[in-house]
Amino acid sequence: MIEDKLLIWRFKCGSSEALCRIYKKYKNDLLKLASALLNDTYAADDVVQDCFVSFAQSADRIKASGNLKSYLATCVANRARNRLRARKRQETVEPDEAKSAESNLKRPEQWIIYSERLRRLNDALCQLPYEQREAISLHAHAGMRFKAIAQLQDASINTVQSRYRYGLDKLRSILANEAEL
Amino acid sequence: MKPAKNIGKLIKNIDIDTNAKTDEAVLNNTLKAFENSKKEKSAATAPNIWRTIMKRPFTKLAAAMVILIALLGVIFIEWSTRPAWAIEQTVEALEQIKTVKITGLSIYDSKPIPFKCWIKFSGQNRKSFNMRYECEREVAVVRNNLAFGYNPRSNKVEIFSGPKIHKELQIWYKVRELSPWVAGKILEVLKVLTDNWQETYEKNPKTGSDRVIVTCSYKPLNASFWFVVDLESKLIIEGKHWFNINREGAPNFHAQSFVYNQEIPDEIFDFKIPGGAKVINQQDLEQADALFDKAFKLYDKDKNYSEAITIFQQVYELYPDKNIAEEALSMIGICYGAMGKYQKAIESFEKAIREYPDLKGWIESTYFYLGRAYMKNGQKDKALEAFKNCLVLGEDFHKPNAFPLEHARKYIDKLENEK
Repeated sequence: MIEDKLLIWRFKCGSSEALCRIYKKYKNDLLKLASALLNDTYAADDVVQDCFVSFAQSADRIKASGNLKSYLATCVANRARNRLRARKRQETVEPDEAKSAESNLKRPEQWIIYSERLRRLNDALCQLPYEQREAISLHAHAGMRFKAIAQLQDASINTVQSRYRYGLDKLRSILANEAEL
Repeated sequence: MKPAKNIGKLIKNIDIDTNAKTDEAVLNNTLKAFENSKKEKSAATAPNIWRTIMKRPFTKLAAAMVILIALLGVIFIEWSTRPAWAIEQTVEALEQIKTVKITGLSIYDSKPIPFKCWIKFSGQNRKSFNMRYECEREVAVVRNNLAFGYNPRSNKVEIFSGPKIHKELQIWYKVRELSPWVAGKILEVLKVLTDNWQETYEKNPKTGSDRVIVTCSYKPLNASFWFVVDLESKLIIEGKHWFNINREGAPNFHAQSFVYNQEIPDEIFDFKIPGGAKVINQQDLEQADALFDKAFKLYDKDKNYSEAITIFQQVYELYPDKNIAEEALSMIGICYGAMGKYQKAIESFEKAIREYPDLKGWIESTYFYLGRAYMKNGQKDKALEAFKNCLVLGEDFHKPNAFPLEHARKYIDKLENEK
């Protein structure tokens, strides 16, 4: 945490090295979070990339006292939500059609290299209601506290804890029916 | 590890690998954005603003604003490579501008329509301005904190005011915040945006005066520019803007003449609501949005399509003069599609197209949905026609590799292969 405070302070003072360090420190967690929320390879790549670029441009707006990881995770979660909302509203394409359209896009420089474990976990997470998936992912991947998640989800802490618990139970039963991860 | 035993730990500890090349590229982009941001704080908002502009129903006016700003802004880019463009001289010239009148052509439904635009700066440091843009298809007036948008075809006036100005108008205010025309912010923004910058110095064949012709483009937004700067006055004298990066075809916006510092009477910025015009205010729009969201939740989350249709129908009936009514009709079609009632879906999409034929930015998606409903209904020829309409109408408004164009093209290929 103290390291993060120093990083933010140096970043706000204009240090590119501090930004590099922040990037390297959190990119994997943010990619895991985005891929869990979106379960869409390219969208997850885009969201995290947008998040870092936007972060880099916001040095004057970041509070030195804030929790850096939580800030970045919230940024990813908000962007993921917007992405899903836009997708639903504008692209009411049936799932099989959307999938085949996506798969035809050739983008060789895919950022996340998916392991079979990660893919299966994300597929399982995807079967949960979005709020549960979000609560689990933010807590597990981004280490966010329930209070912060409650703020993001505009819900009470109890509700978020229930979402987390029910989500884990359901996830457990989904994965229990599969082979060992 | 058995997942059933410690699922939380499993999620937390799962490994992830990344492509090193992409890692480096993203980091470079991030650092570049950081460096640019340090120099040009205002640059951060520009791409989003630009994207928003292109998506909004007020696109023509917004595009006009962009080109006007761009035209006066981009002349600073790479000024240092040409001594003829001493920035101090240009700033000095621009600082004298109190008013500007621009006339030219703007494309509506593939036809060039003449327009006029007046802008008058006011207040200290010219931080605010009044504006009027008019052509036979629309009139828009911004005066202090009030904005009016008038569509003569539907005889509809939209009024926006105050800090919670509706999203269509927010963009104007964003543009205004950036202190366009003269202040440095917008210039800094454009320095970051454009590429393929080319300058050609020449004599004006008519007047013999020196001038420079500049071209540049911005790939991510599929936009390109061509404009002429008079080297004596250092001001823009003509400009064009295309919604493609190669300046192909007729320009979507052609500012043919700029008249600077001519007296503009304040009456120009008055707006009188035409007789019989339907007036829509901001509160109506917020209520329509709330009802629409309620219906959308029923469709998306609860899968309660029949209830969603009832509420979308209410949105349409209560607010038929708003863009959201077209969206509501489109959503009714989508709900019927989800219920497998394709004939009903077709009727709804066709109604949306019939009643809102000019609603660019939305109507192309409706054509896509119509095509899909025809396909499901076994009417392949009609489906093909609808997908083609989607492509033609959408080419100026959507990226070619994104929804709905990408999907429409895919279906066209499929249908033509089946012939």
